[in-house]
Amino acid sequence: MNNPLFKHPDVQLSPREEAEITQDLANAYRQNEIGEKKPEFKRIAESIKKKINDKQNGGL
Amino acid sequence: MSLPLTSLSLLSRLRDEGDHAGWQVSWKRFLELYHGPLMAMAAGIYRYHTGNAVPPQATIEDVVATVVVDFFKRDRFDPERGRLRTYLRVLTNARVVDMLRKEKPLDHESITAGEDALAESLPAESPEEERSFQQALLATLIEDLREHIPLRQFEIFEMVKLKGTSPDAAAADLGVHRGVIDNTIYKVMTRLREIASNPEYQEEYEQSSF
Repeated sequence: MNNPLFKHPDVQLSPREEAEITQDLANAYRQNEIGEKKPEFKRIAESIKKKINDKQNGGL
Repeated sequence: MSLPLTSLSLLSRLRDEGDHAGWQVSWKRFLELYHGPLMAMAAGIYRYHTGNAVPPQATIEDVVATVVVDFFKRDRFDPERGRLRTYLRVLTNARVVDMLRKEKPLDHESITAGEDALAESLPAESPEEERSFQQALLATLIEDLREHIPLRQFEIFEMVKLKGTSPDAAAADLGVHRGVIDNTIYKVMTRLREIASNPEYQEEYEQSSF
């Protein structure tokens, strides 16, 4: 376990640990937002829609 | 069906129960959160089974799409029996192997050498895969938090902690005293740590033991 966010909630965090948590959360949030805008994300989403439709049309 | 549900335990139980619109919302949210680690998994597993061949982008994208469909059509993942990341790796491995068998290219001789063992053979988790999965998990945690606190509190948390707005600027923008911002951040961080203390999150975040 290398992220202080996952320490027991009763454990007092140091300012450095709090800053580390903030940075990790901000990175994850930013990466998630960037990821949703990538062309590959849109292509995969379209592919999933097609696979779902194929399954529903073939399976019903 | 009130979706999206994003906590780890709820993610695993999302099912198509005749509400196709709800199902679509849930797979889209899942894809938003986990397409990064799934792509890293698929690429690493492809290289593992092909003697380090560079995976074609289209192949990786097709594997990820199939894994997401599988994840929502099957009812096997149970958080009490194992980790989400392990389950996703097993699903991804099976789809990569399926795809390589269909392709049967000459330079993939290794996949014909031991097909039975192949489907059960998983490479060690790469640092990129681990980093990507941990980021996805933190993004899931943020979504979980959003479901558990008032919108106004999340808005302040998002401004200050996720988008880097200074507390003073957030106070001025929202027309509140600086103390309101500080108190809210304290409350939200306390709530976030409570959610993060859920054993599911603890286990999923742990360093890989593959």
